[in-house]
This record gives sequence, C-alpha cells and structure tokens, in this order.
Amino acid sequence: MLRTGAENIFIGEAGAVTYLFVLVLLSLSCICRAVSARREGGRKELGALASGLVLFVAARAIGLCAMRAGGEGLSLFAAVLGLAGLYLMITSILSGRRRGDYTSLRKTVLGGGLIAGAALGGAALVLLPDSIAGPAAVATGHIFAAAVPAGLIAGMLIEKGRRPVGIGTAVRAAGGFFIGAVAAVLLAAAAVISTNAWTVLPGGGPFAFQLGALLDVTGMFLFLAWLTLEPAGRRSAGAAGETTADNSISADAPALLTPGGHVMEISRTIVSGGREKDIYREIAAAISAETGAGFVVVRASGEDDERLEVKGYFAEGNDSRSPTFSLSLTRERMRKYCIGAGAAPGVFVLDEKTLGEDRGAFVPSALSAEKGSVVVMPFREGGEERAVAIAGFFRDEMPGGVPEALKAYGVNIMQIVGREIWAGRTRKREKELVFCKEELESVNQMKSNFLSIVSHELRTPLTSIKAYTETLMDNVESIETDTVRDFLKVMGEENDRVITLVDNILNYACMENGHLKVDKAECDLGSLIEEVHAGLENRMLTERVNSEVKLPRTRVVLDADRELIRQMLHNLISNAIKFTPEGGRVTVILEEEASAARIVVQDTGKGIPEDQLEKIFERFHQVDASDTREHGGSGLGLAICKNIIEWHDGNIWVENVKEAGAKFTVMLPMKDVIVRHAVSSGFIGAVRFERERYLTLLVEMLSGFLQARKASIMIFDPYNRTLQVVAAKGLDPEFVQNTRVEVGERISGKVFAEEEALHVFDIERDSKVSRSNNTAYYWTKSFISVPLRDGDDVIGVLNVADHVNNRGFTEADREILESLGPVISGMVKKLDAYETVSSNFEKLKDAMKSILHIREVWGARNMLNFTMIAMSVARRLNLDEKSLTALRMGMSIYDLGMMKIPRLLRVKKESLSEKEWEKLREHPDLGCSLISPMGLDERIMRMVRSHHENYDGSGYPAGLMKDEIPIESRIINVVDSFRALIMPGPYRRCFSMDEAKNEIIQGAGTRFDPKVVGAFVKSLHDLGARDDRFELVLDAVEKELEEKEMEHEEKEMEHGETVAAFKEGI
Amino acid sequence: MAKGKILVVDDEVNITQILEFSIGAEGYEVITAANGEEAIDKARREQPDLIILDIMMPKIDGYETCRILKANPLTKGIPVVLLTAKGRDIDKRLGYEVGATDYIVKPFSPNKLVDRIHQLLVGSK
Repeated sequence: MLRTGAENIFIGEAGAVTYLFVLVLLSLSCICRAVSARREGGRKELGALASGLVLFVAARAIGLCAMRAGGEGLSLFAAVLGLAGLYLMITSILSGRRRGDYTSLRKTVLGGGLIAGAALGGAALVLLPDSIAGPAAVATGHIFAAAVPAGLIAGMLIEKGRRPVGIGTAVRAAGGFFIGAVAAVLLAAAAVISTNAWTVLPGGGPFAFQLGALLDVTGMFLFLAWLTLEPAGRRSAGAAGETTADNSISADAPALLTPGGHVMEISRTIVSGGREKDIYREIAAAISAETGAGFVVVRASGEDDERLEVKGYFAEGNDSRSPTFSLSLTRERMRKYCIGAGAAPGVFVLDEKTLGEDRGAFVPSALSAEKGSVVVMPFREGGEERAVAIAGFFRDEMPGGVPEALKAYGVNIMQIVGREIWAGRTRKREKELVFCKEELESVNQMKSNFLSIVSHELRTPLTSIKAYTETLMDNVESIETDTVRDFLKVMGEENDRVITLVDNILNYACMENGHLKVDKAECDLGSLIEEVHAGLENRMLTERVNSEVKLPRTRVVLDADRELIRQMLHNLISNAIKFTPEGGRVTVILEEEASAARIVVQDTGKGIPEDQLEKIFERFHQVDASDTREHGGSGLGLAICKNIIEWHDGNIWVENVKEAGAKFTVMLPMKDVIVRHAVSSGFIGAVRFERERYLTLLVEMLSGFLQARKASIMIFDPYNRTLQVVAAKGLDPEFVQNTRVEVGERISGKVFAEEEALHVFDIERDSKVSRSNNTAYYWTKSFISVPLRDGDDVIGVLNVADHVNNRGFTEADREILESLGPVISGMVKKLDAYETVSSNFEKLKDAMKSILHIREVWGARNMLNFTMIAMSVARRLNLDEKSLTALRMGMSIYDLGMMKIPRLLRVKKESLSEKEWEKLREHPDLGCSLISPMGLDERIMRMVRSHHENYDGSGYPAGLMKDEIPIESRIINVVDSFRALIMPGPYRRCFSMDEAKNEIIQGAGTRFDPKVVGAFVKSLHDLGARDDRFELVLDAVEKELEEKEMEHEEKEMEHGETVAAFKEGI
Repeated sequence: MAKGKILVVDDEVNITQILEFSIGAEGYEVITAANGEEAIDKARREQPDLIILDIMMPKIDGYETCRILKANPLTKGIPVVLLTAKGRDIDKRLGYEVGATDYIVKPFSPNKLVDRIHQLLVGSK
C-alpha cells in the first residue's frame, strides 16, 4: 500500500494551478459542445455528457488533492467518480452511435478515455502494492489516455471511407489529425517518461511526476485545440437554424469552410460525359459532406415541366436510394417559399413552422419523423426555376458556409441540368427528324401515287378520244350518222373529263401557292346547291343513286367567291355520288347558324376507313390507290374543297355515320360582319386585310358563342371621348362606319358609363329601355350589353342581340358574354400593337377557329349546360369571383387541344396503342400552346394544362395530385368526364345520366376530388339535370326561360287589363 | 363466217364500245367483258381466239386475270394482248411474266391494234 506517495510527491504550486486551469478549460469546451448538442435536440446524450464531464473534472481535481494531501480515501473516491463518469460517457457514446453522429461520438470517446485514464490511475495508486504503485498508476492512466486518439484516428478513417468528403474537409480533418496525433505522442511520452523517472531518476517521484504532468498538460492543451478547431466551421452560424423563411443566413456569420471543394472534379465528370444519375448523386453527396447536412436533395425539371423531379439524393448512413416524398415539389409550391431573390441564387431557410403542411415536398418521407429546418436554394434560368438544392437537418448548428457551398455546386447543377435539357431537345429533334423523314417518304409515295393516278386518269379519256377520232377518220364515208353522233358525244364527254382534271390540278396548284384570286360577292348558298345538284342529276340517274336536298326556308347568303363555292360543292357532291352504291342515297343539307352556314353532304357508301379520316383532305390522297381501285379521280377533289373552304375562313370535317356512310360537314362563316375601316391607323394592303380578318373572327367568335344574330364590339376612343364600333355583325354598314356613341348616351354609352351589364330579355316589354333611342337595334327582341374590361379599366362595350332561336338571352348567356370580355379586350389590345400581332396572326386565327370548332362539335346547348354545372359546383365550393370568371372561360376552351389531335385518336379510346396514348396525352399541352397567343390569364392556362390531372396523381401531363391541381381543373375534370360519358361517340356506347353519375361517384378519391364530386352530384340535382335522348337538359335553364316568358305575359295581361279598365272608364 | 372471235375486256365502256366497232368492222366477232371475273367466265365458255385485256380494273386486275387464264387448261392457249395506260418497262415485263403475248400502251391506234390481231391470229394458225 502506498504510504509515502503523498509526502514524496511534490508538485509545484504553479504546476498544480496550471493543471487545474487546463482541466477547467477542457470542461468549458465540453460544456460548449453540450450546449450545441442541446440545440440539435439530443437531450439524452446531453445529460450523460454533462454529468460525465462534471464527474470527470471532479475526479481529476480530487485525485490531485489526494495526491497532495495523501488521503487514501480521497483517492478511492476520485477513482469511483472517474468510473461513474466513464459509464455516463459510454452511454452517451452509444446513443450518439445510434444517431449516426460520428462527430459527437469521437469527442465523447476522447473524453471517456481521459476519464478512464484518470480513474484507473487513481485506482492503481490506491490499490497496488507500494513498489509498483506509483509508476504503474501513472503509466496506466497515461497509456490509456494516449491510446484514445489512436483509436479515434482509426475510427475517423473508417468513417471517411464510408462517405465521400470534399478536399476542404479532408484538409481540415488532416490538420485536426495532426494536432491530435502530436497530442497523443506527447501523452504517451509523458507516460513513458514519468514511469521511468519514478524508478530511475534520483529523487524519483516528484521530478518525474512534474515532467509527466508538464507533458500531460501540453498534450491536453493540444487536444483542446483540436476540439475547438475541428468543428468550428460547422458551428459558426449559431442560431441560423431558427430563422424564418424570408431570412437568408446572415452574411456576417463566420464561414470558415472553403465552399465547393469538389466543384471542379464534378465539372470534369460532367464535361467528360458521366451518367446524369451518378453526377447528381455525387453533387448531393458532396454538398452533404461539405455542409454536414443530414440529407441533401437535388431536384431539376425538364423544359416544360411544372414539377421538379428528384435527381440526386444523399442522406446520412449512406442512404442514396431514391427517396419518396409525400408531396411533389412544383414550381408554384417552391415560389410560395422562395420568392424575391430574382435571378441571383438566394438561400431560404425554412423551419418546420414555415413549411407547415408542405413539409412533405421538401423532406423525404423516410425522415418525416426527424425534426429540423431545411435550406432551399433555387437556381433560375430565364426567370424559371430549373433546379433546386435542398439541404436539411444539420448535425451541428447550421454552419455559415452552407449558402456558399450550395451556390458553388449550383454551377455543377446548372451544368448538368443544361446538359439534360440539351439532351432532351436533341431527342425531341431526333424524333422530329424521324417524323420529317417519314413525312417526306409518305409525300414521296403520295407523289408517285399521284403521278400514276393522274397518268391513268389522263390516259383513259385521251385513249378514248384518240380511238374514236381515228375510227371516225377511217370510216368517214361508210359510217352511219347516228353512230357518228354517238362517237362525237363520247369524245365530247371524254374531253370534258380531261378539262375537269386539268382544271383541278391547276386550281389546286394556284391555291397551294396562294395565287388564287378570290372574287367575293353576295352568294346565295341554297340556289347554288340546287344548281350543282341539278348539274349532277344525270350522273345520279345513270349510277342509280337517289338524292335529297334539304334547304332552309330563308335564304342563306354568304360573301364568297361563287365559282369556288360551286366547285367545292360539285367536288363534295360528286364525291358522295361516286362512293354511293346503286340504290343508295346522297343527302345534302343546308342549315343556318348564328355566324355560319352549315352544309352537310352525306352518302350511304361504306364510309371511310378510320385510319384515313384525317388524311382524305390531303392532296393526292386516295383511300384506294391500287390498280384495282373501283373509283377514279385524281385525289385532289377533297384537298381542293378544303382549300376553298379555308380561303373562306371555314372548316370542313368528316365522320362516319353508323348506319350510313360518310358525312362531310362544312362550316362557312357568314360574312355579314362589318369592320370599321381603320382610317387613321395607317394599315395598308395586306396588313389591313389581315386586321379586318382578325376583327371579323373576333365578332364571329362572339356571335358564335352566344348564338346571336347581331354582335358588335365597341371601343372607347379617348380622343373623341366617344364609343365607336370597331366590328359588328348583322348591323347596317352605314351605322357601323359612322356612329359614335357619347358616353352615357344610348344603351352602350350607359353600360360604358355605369360599368354595369344590361340584359334585356324582351325589349318590347322592358322598362329599362325605350326603343326610340336604339335605332341600331330596331328589330331586336332581346340583347345583352356588357362592359369590356381590361383589368379594372373599362375600355369598351360588347353587344349581342337576337338569339338565332328567337328566344331571349338567359342569365347563363350573360355570364358567358362576361367571361369572353377579358379574351376580347386582350386581343383588341394586341391589335393596337399590330406589327406583333401579324406574326402571331395565324396562331391566333387557329386558336379562334378552334374555339368555334369545339363549340360546333359539342353543340352550343351542351356547352352552355356543362358550363352551368361547372359554375354551380364552383359556387358550392365557395370559389372567389376571380376563379369563377376564369372557370367560365376555361370551360369553353379547356379541350381546345383535342381539336389538334387526329380525329381517329379522339373517337376510339379503347384500342389505342401506347404511342397513340402518348399522342393523346399531349392535348392539354397542345391546348395551352394553342391559346398562348391569346394572352389569357395564367390561371386559365393552368386550368387548360391540368384538366386531365387526377386526384391520386395518375393523370397527365404532370401527374400532379390533390391540392397541387388547381381547384378549377379538378372541377373541369369531373364535368368533362361526365360529358364524355353521356355524349354520344360514334364508337362508344353512351351512358345514361345516372350511369354516368355513378361512374363519377365511383371515381371519387381516385380520379376525382371527393369534395368536387360531392358538390357535382348536388349541383346536378339542383339544376334539375335529366336525360333527353342525346342531350343533357337542365331544368334550371329551361325554367329561367319559361319564367321570363311567364313574367312578361303577366305584365302584358296587367297592361291589357289596365287598358280595358281605362276604356271602360271612358 | 367470222374471221375469229375476240374477247375485249375493259372497265371503260367507251373503250369496249369503240373496239367492238373497229374490230367488228374488220369481220371479227367481238364479245366484251367489263371486269376480270366476267372475262374469265366468258373466255371459258366462249373460247375466243384472242383476248384483249385492260390492266387497271376493279376487283381482279389484268395481270391476275391473265395469270388465272393461263393456269386453266381450257383457256391456256388463247393469246392475250394487254392493253393498258401503264407504259413503264417494269409493267411490260410483268405483263410478259404472267403470260401475255403482246403489250399495247394506251392511247393506242385502233388500226394498229387490228393489224396486230391479224398478225397474231395468222401466226397462230
């Protein structure tokens, strides 16, 4: 047992004080760490660590005192305390390991080692026999302490091997290792020297102990340095983790870390063409290593995607499997948090509170239980978020270098995003090239078909002519007169055949080159049809084809080129005759619509093969171009028809009718539109012509939508402070050219001044207006005037009057007119900047024509009804006024893209191949690009784009889900599905209303938003929807009409009674 | 007594009519058919001395008709003259491949056709 130790050992007062001082410093540094651990939320380790530290310091101090005072009991006590501290430290180590927090682990191991050293040293001093007690005790303690750093280094190396580390980190780590290693060596030396000194040196213990203590202190000091230096970079940001979304990390936080240690290497990999997937992952890993983030996600988007896809991911524990997120990260969602940074990359620190319910879009589902904030850095290009780096859950407090590191890797990210976009474009271009090549090949094929067909078509009559001529010549003397007459008749007919063919070819060439001279004049369609029909009667007799012509009672007059229209009708009807078998029937129907004449030519032939429906209007196209074809023809007839119709701004399409053959429908706009000449604007020639066409289309769109015979657009002229008509349909040309309406005067003036719509159901009986001051609408029965708004300003007035069905306009009509306002004002405004319009003109025309077309395809009544349903659903869901307006417009145009999809794909959904599906799925995007030149509200664009997104994310094009889909689109999706189910399609059984409703209800929660479905079902009920053969009837609409009629009748009755009473009174 | 019996096959009525006239004027008996099926049927029943055959016809084209005629022992020996608007070399070769004796391109001269018929019928006798 040690007796002499205490007396013999002499420690200088100064030495002892220094030793204690170092101990205090050490513990202070540990307390600092403990505080930071608290911030990270590791409370349990914190407790263990802190108590361990206190015990450790106490053990050291007491041990020291014991040595000085020689208290055996005290030494023992110190040893016990030391061991207790060790135990606590080990607990802390274990829990740190579970958390995967290697840094705190390392430090705890170190502390633990030191304590263990002290404890064992103290214990040895007390317990071992005298002869070996001193040296053995000191040696054990120190060796233990020295072994710790060695173990740590090994541990760190293992850890390093597990995750890639940036150069900067490596350098720092190396520095730390160096200091740590020196400390370890010194500690070991201290142990060796003091052990030897104890036994070897004269005077033994005290000197040896002093020397050992000195080395001990130095070693400890170095450890302290290591401890404080190594994590400094990560600690600096301090409280940054608690800042809110709009706070960037303060710039003055010390950033000790060199950002982007790996940038160059990654750049090289990108340039040398590594795989995108690997590179993204490498970037994520590098950011994680550099910032100490618990997880890093790099997301990027393609050129047109709204959604930013996960490209690279790295999480601690080397988990780089692709993570799942409960919400997708759309640009819109990101903008919610990351706005205001402009084009320069800005960093946004989002804590849990700010993220709220959107947390699932930023934090992977696997880590959803973890707490902490995330750093988001969007990278923009051309104002669009192209990519975003998200780093979250930092091991230490968020270091100040995070933004710099993210920014540095932003270079890499944008590089690789750029490369991907480029590759995407290349792929697209390749696809286009292949498509072009196929097109060219088919054009080439068509050309040779055409040549062989034309040569046959030309040779056949020429052969006859030649043969007949020669025979006549040879037999000129002997031949009978009757035979000569027969022969000459044949020759004449064959000659006509050649002429028609050549005419067709020449005409077509002219039209294609745009050299066609269109001579427009008043042209009575009905009489023209009769004329053409009569001209073909002979042929129908010989081919035994019956025919029927149905004309309206009133004259249908167009402003058109009579000869061209005649040719078009001739081609269409003779085409129908050609394909009708003996005994069949050709039907020609002419109908007048609000803004167009509809001509239907229907035959009872075998129809047109489905895959040819789209192509038959292409030039040289023949359904059957083989040698055995039954029908002649150059393959130009229909192409010419289409051209002529397009020269008249019309539309032609064909469909197969189930029981009969093919049905061609031609829509020709009625040219009773007058456009006010733009006298002062300096438009000349073609530009002026185009401007007129443009305005004409606008007015046609207006009257077509509302089924109004009369429509006009009036714009306020700030110079004269009057309203003038810029374009009108169905009004007196004189009136249009010369009328200026003072603000506050007449109906339009009042509507403009009061900024309020005026809706008159029956002008005869409405007290709001008197006929005398409304000469322009002299024959008008019912009309609506609405202010034309541009944002908050009223810039003019829209008027429609006289419904084609001679009924009054309803509330629903007024709503539709109001919804058209923004579109028209946008387009009129564009007209002011005409030069820019002209380049877009074709596109605009295309869009407007499609709008008219879709209305024709759906039927005006249906369009109105489905819009009513959608609006009712929206109101039920408490959408605001702006959304309602947008939805109203959206309902009319959401399916425009469909008009650009080949008809074949539109009509049969069951047997589509994957490729065809892909094509069909493009229609929302097509719709968007179609309406893009119209300059509509972003809201409407989004509506169009996402009306096929399903609630569960199974829709297209972006696969959005739940709240990511604009509510308006969710409504449209339900209403559109319902429409598709109940509207008759040529190749699909149509559902009854109840069947369709059940189908919709079944889709609630999967395809459809249950909330919307609920509102939809209620709306259907409230609106009194019922089946009426092929049309949906809404009682609400019918009732409104009826009520209005009733109301007026009552009024009339009252009026009559008053008059009667008055008379009686007399 | 007619010099021989000629079968004229063409879907164009005008062509069969004029051939009927000019060949008939030379003292031949002329029978006509408007398509391949009818031609095969008439050739078998009437056993003409020569067949003048158009190529572009609905249902069975001239090549196919010729092939069928040549495959049938009853009609195998009847010489076939193809009369067609298809004048490319490849068309002619195809014509000879299916067993045609001669090939005349439209528009044709009825005189020359009659001369050719004379030659063929004299040559075969």
